[in-house]
Amino acid sequence: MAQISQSVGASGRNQRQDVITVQQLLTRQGMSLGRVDGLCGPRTVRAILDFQARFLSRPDGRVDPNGTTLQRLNGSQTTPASTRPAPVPARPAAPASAAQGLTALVPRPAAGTINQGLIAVSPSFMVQQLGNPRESYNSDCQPMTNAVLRRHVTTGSLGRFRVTGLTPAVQSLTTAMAQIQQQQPDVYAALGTAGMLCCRLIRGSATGISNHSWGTAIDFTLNGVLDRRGDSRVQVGLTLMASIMNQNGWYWGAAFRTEDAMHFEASRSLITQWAGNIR
Amino acid sequence: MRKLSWVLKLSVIGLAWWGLATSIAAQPRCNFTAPQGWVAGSTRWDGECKAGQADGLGVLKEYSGASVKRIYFGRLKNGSPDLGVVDQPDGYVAGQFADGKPLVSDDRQVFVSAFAEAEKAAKQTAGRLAKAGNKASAAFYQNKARALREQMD
Repeated sequence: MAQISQSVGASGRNQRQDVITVQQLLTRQGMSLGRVDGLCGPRTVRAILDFQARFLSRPDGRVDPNGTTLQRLNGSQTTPASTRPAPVPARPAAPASAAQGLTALVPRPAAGTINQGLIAVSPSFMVQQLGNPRESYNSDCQPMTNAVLRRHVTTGSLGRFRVTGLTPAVQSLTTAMAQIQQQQPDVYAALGTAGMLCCRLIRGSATGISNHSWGTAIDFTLNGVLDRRGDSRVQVGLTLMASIMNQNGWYWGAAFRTEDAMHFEASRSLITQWAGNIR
Repeated sequence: MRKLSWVLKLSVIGLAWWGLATSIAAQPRCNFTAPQGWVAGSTRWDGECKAGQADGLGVLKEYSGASVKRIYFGRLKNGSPDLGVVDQPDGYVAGQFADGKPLVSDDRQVFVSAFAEAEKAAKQTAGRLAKAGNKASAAFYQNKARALREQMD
């Protein structure tokens, strides 16, 4: 029975050898995923989702060590022949293109599987560390008036688009984007943004300041589509880049009490590290 | 007496029918262009209209058979999508539109404004439906308005 050491697929760790194992098992099960290359992209996740649809009511696009999906891929967990349902044919050739698969939705990952070792920031923590970006706010984006912070704001290209944010945040994103380009080229090609720096109140609130007010948070789009907040489902493409963002210290909003999967923000450790240089 | 009652009933039905027909006939033609990629002939505009063109806040729906496939919430200008949000199965497409296509932008304020406009359109539609006594549909658009308001933090 083939084993994997860590999770593969949506929000998985996606270590190369594990991905190869899962891709081989999927191919053996008749799933169409293209080349067995050890890279977990949208086609591999699509194939996992299609395979899981045979026996799960809510496929999540992820294969865990010793999990049901791996056991099924290995051909175990079989029922006696007399009671076994007729096999569901694999999805015919011509699977959805990689680009189309990126905005397919999967359940948001379990809390313990993402943002490991990272802590989300609160507005009060941000004010304490970096100061208040403005004296007053309304529901629209307004210029930063804090002179100290403003000196550290920059506009830069992240390859696919431009962002304006706190300089160390933009630099950190530049590093993360280069890794996404290398490890998840289909995701990189589809990425856009709904903006970074924006000093405003959280919509519907009279007092809560948006985390975007410091230029240390970013919202992403995939093929121009924003993930719907609060539906507890997330776009596949976001699950494929989340571990790279996490490795760079960016906290994924999919874990917020109200899921906000398009949102990534610099974690407490990054803010603490940067605060010393913001003078 | 019974004959008179029938005459009265028929008159009432006739008046109601005449009223409905007049209302349909009086409804101005409201032309619009759907966002790019939408199937022509399966769309419906429910919103403001000026001089025969959809113009102002409203809701534009694309149908697939009897069910709604996508909804544009926001403003149409001279019959074309201007500023708003398309609510589709995999998420939202938001922003300024030109020639039926969303303009690519990395300016956060554009997204904030698009969702604000979309919320207004959903609220207005909910109000209109509530006034007409359609509580279920009004509640649907109220919920949409809340989701649109809360999308951008």
